[in-house]
Amino acid sequence: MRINILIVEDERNLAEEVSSYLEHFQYQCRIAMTYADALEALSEKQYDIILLDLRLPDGHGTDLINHIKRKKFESGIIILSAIDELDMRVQALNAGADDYLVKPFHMSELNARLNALVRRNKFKGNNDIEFFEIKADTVKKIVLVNDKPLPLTQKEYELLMYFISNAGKVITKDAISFSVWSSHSDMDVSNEIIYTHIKNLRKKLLQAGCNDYIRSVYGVGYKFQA
Amino acid sequence: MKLVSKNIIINTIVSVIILFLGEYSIYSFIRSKIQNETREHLLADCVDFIRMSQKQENIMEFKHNIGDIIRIQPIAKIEHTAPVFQTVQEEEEWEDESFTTEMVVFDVNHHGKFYRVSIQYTIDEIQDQADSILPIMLITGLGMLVMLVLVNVFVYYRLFSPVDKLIKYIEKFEIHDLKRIEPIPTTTHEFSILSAKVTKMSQNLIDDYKAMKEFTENMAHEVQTPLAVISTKIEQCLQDENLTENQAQLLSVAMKKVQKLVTLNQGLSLLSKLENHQYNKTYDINVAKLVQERISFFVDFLQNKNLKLAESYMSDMTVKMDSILAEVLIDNLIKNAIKHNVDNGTIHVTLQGNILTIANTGHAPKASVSDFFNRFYSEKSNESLGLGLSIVKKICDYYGYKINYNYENGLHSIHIEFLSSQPL
Repeated sequence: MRINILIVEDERNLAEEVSSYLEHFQYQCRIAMTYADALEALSEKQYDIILLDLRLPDGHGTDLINHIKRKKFESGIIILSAIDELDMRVQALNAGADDYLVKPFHMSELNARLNALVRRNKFKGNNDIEFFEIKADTVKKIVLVNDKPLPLTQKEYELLMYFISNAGKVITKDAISFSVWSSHSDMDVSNEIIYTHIKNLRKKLLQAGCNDYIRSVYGVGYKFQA
Repeated sequence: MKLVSKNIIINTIVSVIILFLGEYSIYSFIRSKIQNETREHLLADCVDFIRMSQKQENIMEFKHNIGDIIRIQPIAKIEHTAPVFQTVQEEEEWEDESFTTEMVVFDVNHHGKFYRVSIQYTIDEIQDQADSILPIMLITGLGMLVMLVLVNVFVYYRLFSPVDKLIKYIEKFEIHDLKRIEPIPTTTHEFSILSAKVTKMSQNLIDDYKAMKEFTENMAHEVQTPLAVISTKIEQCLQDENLTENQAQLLSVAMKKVQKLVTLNQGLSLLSKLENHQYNKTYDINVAKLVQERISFFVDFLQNKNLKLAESYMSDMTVKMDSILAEVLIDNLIKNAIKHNVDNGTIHVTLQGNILTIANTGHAPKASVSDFFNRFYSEKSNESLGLGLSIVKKICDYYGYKINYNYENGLHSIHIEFLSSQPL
């Protein structure tokens, strides 16, 4: 079952990048560049997830959220906005958005949040993630390798989830820092910290008999790949 | 002091002065009038005495009904060629009291012999009669004063009530409410001009504020979106299987700079929002709790540099702040303490009374201490933006907290004294 995503974003470049990144993960994307386009797309079929820019040339994103809620669509909504303000965040979340991501965001971050939302909405009751010999219960936050539990620290768990969500893609250190260490990107020490945590995670995985999936990409980032 | 009280005080002082001056001048006027009348009378008596005494043989036995008191005594030669007037206190013969008299003294030539004659009139009674007017005048004056005060108060509250209202409106005016000061209903020409001007000025302020706010938001938006495109494009490039190491490094540098721009943009927009007073929702924040909570996010960073954390919370104070600003404030202080620390160093966090001190070990500062809170000041200019502490300073200024920095015994300390908690 392919998951349908409607990307409502007036910046074509950004919309296309998002679309191409997500299609890699077997999501089906449609781009709407205006409020009117979005309404038209929504009238044609239901989407599982809507990625929504708040400022559109012909309307405001929150109106679209209200429209979706009125129609009782069960779409998950992630706001993609350049406005990093608490008021705006609260307003959007109150209107019924599920998540709020400030531009510029990392594709891997968007993808991870998308995955989490899809799990919550689409596969109710089934919150398991599988990647070859690794299994994870995202509710209980338990990781099994070859059906044996693998004790991980909070950060290691978050790292692993982030990797699995974005398997096969290069994830930059900045993206990891943003996602796992909640955006202390102006801290110059984060590279070493990421390195240490990934080293520990890798060691634990290997010791549990897991294949080595974590690859460093020229010191720029990491790739989790079978 | 209120205008009405000022007005009453000035009016009262002036009225009392005028009242007493008036009383005094009327008093002296009546006195001199009595004296003049009496002296005219004395002069007439004087003439009568001389005319009548000439018909008598012996002046000493001259019977007459001139004056209240008359004294005649012989003298050797005439000294007063004209009558001399005096006001004299006379002693009662059998009592210790005295009474006031007007007296005329003149010398006469009576059939070749010289005599000095003095005629006196008691004026106490007539003066007392005249004086009895004074309390009546005083009461009238005081009555007028009371009326004046009452009229003043009445006029003030009647005439100036529009101004009072306007002042209340101005006091209530907050630019971020985006509500202009409404004109007040008044029939007084000057007040209606004042009110209209105030309304117009408040409207202008709000328009400017809105424009500035919009500009800040747009600016952030307009810059963030292209940055988002650049950042996604770079990420896209990084996904390329055939990427060489050199290309990856170049992209990584580009990505870092984009991140830097993003952080800078966020910092600047925070600063400008602070300058525009756009943070006005306050919550009660327990400082000790907040600091502990924020520090927990930095555990990995502390471990990375092997920093020791010495915390001491001796106060349970709460402050009224915007929750985001409070977090930014504490985060920036902690980040600063970590970033400029040495390996195996220490961070001291102390909350005592209403003073929060965050101190860290570190190298001695190279520049003057006051530069630390300046925008873009950074000792290692490549590694950080230098916005952190200037944001800290701005937040402190915003809430009227006192902040200072000092370096002593290898310890950089930043003290924040949480004073009032209203945005200034």
